Amino acid sequence: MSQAVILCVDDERVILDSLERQLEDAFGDDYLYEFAENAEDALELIEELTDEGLHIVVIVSDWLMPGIKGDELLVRLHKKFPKVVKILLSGQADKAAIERAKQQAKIHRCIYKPWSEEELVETIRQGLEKL
Amino acid sequence: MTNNQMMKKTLNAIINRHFLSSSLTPVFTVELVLLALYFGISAFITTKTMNMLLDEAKQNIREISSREAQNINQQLKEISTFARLLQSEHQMFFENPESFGLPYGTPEFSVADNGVFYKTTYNGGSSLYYSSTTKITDKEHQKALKTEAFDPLFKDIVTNNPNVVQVYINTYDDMNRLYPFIEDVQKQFPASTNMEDFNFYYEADAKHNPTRGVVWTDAYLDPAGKGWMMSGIVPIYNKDFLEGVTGIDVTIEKFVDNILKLDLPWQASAFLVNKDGMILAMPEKVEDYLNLKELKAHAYGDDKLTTTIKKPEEFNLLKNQDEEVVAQLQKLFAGHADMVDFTARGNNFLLSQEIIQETGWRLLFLVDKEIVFEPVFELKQLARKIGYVVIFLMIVFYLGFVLYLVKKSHNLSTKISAPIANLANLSSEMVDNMETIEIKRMDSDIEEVSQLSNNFNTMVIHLKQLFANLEEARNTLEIKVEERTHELKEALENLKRTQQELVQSEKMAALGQLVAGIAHEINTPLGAIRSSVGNISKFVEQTLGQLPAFFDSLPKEQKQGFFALLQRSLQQETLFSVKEERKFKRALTRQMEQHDIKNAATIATKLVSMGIYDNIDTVLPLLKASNGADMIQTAYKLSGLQKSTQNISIATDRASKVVFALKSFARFDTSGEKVQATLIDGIETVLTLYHNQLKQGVEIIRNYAQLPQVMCYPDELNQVWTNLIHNALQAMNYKGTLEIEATIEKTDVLINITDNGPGIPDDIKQKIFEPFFTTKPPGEGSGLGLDIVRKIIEKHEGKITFTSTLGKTTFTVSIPI
Repeated sequence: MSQAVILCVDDERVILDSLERQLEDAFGDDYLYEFAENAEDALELIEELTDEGLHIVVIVSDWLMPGIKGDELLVRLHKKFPKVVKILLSGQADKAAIERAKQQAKIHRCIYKPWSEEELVETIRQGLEKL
Repeated sequence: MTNNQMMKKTLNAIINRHFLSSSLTPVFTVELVLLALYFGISAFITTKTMNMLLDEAKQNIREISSREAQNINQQLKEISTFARLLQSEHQMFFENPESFGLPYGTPEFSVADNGVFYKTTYNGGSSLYYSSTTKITDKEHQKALKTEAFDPLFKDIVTNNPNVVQVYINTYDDMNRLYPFIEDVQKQFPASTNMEDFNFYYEADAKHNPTRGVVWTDAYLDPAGKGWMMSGIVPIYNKDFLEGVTGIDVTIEKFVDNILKLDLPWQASAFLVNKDGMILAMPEKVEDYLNLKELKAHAYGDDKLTTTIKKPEEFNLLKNQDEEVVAQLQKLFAGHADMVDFTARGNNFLLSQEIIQETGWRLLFLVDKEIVFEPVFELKQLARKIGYVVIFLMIVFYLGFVLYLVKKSHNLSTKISAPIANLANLSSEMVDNMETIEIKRMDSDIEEVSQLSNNFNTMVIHLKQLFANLEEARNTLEIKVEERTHELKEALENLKRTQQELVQSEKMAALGQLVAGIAHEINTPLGAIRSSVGNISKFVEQTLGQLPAFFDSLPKEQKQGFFALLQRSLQQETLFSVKEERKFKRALTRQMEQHDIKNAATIATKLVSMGIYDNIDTVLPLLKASNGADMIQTAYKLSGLQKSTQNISIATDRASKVVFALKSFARFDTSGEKVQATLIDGIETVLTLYHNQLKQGVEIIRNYAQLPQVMCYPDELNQVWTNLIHNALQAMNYKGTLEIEATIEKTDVLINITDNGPGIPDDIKQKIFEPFFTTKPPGEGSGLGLDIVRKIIEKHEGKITFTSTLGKTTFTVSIPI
């Protein structure tokens, strides 16, 4: 049975830590939680997971990251895995980037930092239900 | 006044030097040349004249010489003619004695006491005597008588010829008839006279005179008492028998008187020598020259003459004491020259010779060259005297000329220098006091100087006017300037304020650009705090209450393990990156799967989150337990709590830092005083604010040396760091390496900010500090950044420089400590 993975991508470690606790709290053992600190690592990780037979269901990504920005990452991801719930979680995002993410990556939602736990969890749930 | 003197001196010296040298030198030269010419010409003319005179003298003397010689010759010829006449008459007589009569009557004869038969009384004719040695027979008596016939002829010859003093006949039998009549003739001659002993007889005889022509004797002393004589004698032959000799006597004195005392030009002297060089007649002067005295007069002693007494050998020129004279004369006689140069006793003469054909005598003319040249010498003297006078005059003239020139040049220099000096003084005055200067007219008849003077005066007038105008204008200007200054001061104040406001607005603009980033910088920690707080509150709500029950339910043997796990997790430090943690996670997952632990991946995640990456051997037993999952969860939650509090702490710090940076950046310090500040703090502040931009892909390399505090305007320096770092990031497009270096160099602090962007192109390197110069599109930057930076640095008395190549651009700010 391939377990679903929720992937979090953010260059701030504290964000990833926070996300981990919040997601664990909300979804417990239902999902596997994976983390990457930048887009390249994320893509790599996605490959690995796919090889291991795991599939990603949700990806929560920051926009402003060193290297490939969040919107680009999500666009790429969308090409490969259109069925993934994509959420852009960002402190500051270029309006054009958000637009792009929405258009091309078909993100589910863009949440601004600081986010409320409820908001995030709810968004994910909604996204998952849509699938 | 010194100016005047100095100029005068200099000008004077110059003018003098040039004036004098340029006029004196040619004059002097000309004078010398003229003098030389004068003396030269004079000498030339003298020489020419001398030669001319000499030639003239020569010619003249030649003429005279030949004339006189001719004359003498003629006279001698005359006498010779007479002698021949006598000869023929006598010969006729002896052939036919009867044909001759007695012109003066019958003479009276007598015999003297000494036996001499003689004619006693003068009857107008000649005297007669027979030597006592002769026997007087009738033949003799008749001869004595008959020969009276010749008296008229004798008389004629003597009377009509001035040269002739005596005429006579001497017979073989020692008869002598002689005209003029000698009183007491018997007493005159020695009683016994042998005619053949005397030269005036024997020189005409057959032996000496085979041609029977006229013979002229050398000079001899006349037995008849008439002094030194020479005779022209002829033999009288009766067929081939020598009856006797007729002679015509010419006294040397007569010759000298008549012939030799010629009034010759140049005081020339004429003298006569015979063909052997024997002197026949010589004037005193010539005697002096040749150092001998002519024996013209002979004092007849009591001794009667018995033989011919000829002139002594002394009187032969060719036997003269003076060898030089002899040599010259020999040459003269030997050669055919008729005019030679002759030297005797140191005197130079012209000597001319003319041969008197009749007797073979030489008529010599002696001319003292000095006399010839006398007029010339006189002239020469005169010329020389004139020359000396001329020299003297020239010297006088020259001196006068020099004085004149000196005076003239002095005048000239004064003429030139005075007005110029005046102008110089005037111009000096003008330098000191423009207003009070007075114009002095200084006329000069030098055009340029006059012009200069006039122009100068005009200039002075103009200048005075201008000066006055200037004063007026200045006064007006001062007032205006004051007004303007006031206005400007105000404007400057405004500008300063504006500048400050501009700087501030730049700051704000920069800040504005950062706002989004700064917001993010604060939001991130806020997010972390919120989530952590959420986590803690959830724990308090949910987990806390369950804890006592959980701990109670823990079996004793698990308690230790659990608390060990808990302790381990609480001591955790996050050292690994997410990627690394994943590796651990996977390893743990596999390990647990090997031990058949369920949800290995989930548990692995939690373990790693708790800081347990490996060495789970002690944990495995717990995991294998039935409540393993619960235990892990509880431990996880508790560790999560700790993490949350830590996160809150960290995040709070971060937020504070950002706020602080913001505050310090936005501060608008108007105090205008420098304060001691740490430069690195400022740099770090800026870096904090830019953190968000930096994290996109910029690596920061810090190279800080120990810096002392610096007196500065820290807020303004923050602006500097902001601008420089901002430019660097933009250049790199927020991806690359930003290196910040802080060092001390001598008395300055150096801050180097280096980026590895594409660099500043060479063509804009000069412009980057220009205000309003920017490479960004309009609206995206005022272009004032670096201008403001430079001004701020200048305010700190510092320097800003940069180097830029592709891949490395460094801006260096140096601030004096």
